[in-house]
Amino acid sequence: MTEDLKTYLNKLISSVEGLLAIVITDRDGVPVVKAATEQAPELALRPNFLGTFGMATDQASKLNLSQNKTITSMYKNYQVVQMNKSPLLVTLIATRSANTGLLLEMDNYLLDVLKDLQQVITAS
Amino acid sequence: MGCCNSCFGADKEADYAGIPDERSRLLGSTTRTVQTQPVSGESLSSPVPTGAPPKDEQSALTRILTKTARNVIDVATIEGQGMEQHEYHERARHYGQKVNVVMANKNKSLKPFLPNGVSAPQIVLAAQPISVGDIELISNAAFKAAKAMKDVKVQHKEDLVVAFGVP
Repeated sequence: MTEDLKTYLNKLISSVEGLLAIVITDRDGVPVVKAATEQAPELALRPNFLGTFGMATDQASKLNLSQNKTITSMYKNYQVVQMNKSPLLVTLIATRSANTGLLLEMDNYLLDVLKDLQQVITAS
Repeated sequence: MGCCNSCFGADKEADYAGIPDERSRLLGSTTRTVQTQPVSGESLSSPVPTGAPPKDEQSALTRILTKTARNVIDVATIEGQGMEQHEYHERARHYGQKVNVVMANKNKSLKPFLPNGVSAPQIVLAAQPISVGDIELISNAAFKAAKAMKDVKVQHKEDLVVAFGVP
């Protein structure tokens, strides 16, 4: 059954040019489900990298600009869009030339999946 | 003499007059409000307990401290909150099992959506294609509009900013 979910995520990956990986984790960066292409940078899939966003979004929410929803990081060759879907975090890793707007739109396609996966975290 | 001043009731006088000074309590406003209320039969029968003000102060202080701690942006806490390797693997395995259970209970299959821009794709797909004449008409119109826009020139006649009402 997890395979169905991974297939769905892989289809989403192929629907956006330059998208390399979709990782859904808990607040500590432990992956709940992960789909990645071979081109995805291995370092960006490590829990240290993924979990940092959980704390960064908490701190960014204290700037009197209401709760932080997403953080987009641009690197030399890659871009990383991370979404706060408490209690889950969604990380999208893409090439630098990928359309960032399309990546930010991806959460609409993940709503159903996130609703189901929230049960995994809350039940634990 | 200054140390004896408080012993002789100078503070009480200030409190009685209701004038705040450097010794008046910042958090004791609730108790003061109680004291200034008119004396009635009910207030006489249930006097304010003497232990209440310090407790209120303590809880107010705790509340302020908690709120401040919550609002402080502490980047240092981000570092050094690593997870043990075995704990990470254990939790990942646990999530894997849970995902299997949750997805097994799910009835409808996951299918990628159509883009949001097309709410009724069947109407768009079933529509008659645009005729070549229409395309030429629009192309010509756009070309003429672009040419006209290029030919637009601004002739300077007078200043855009004019002094108004200045003698």
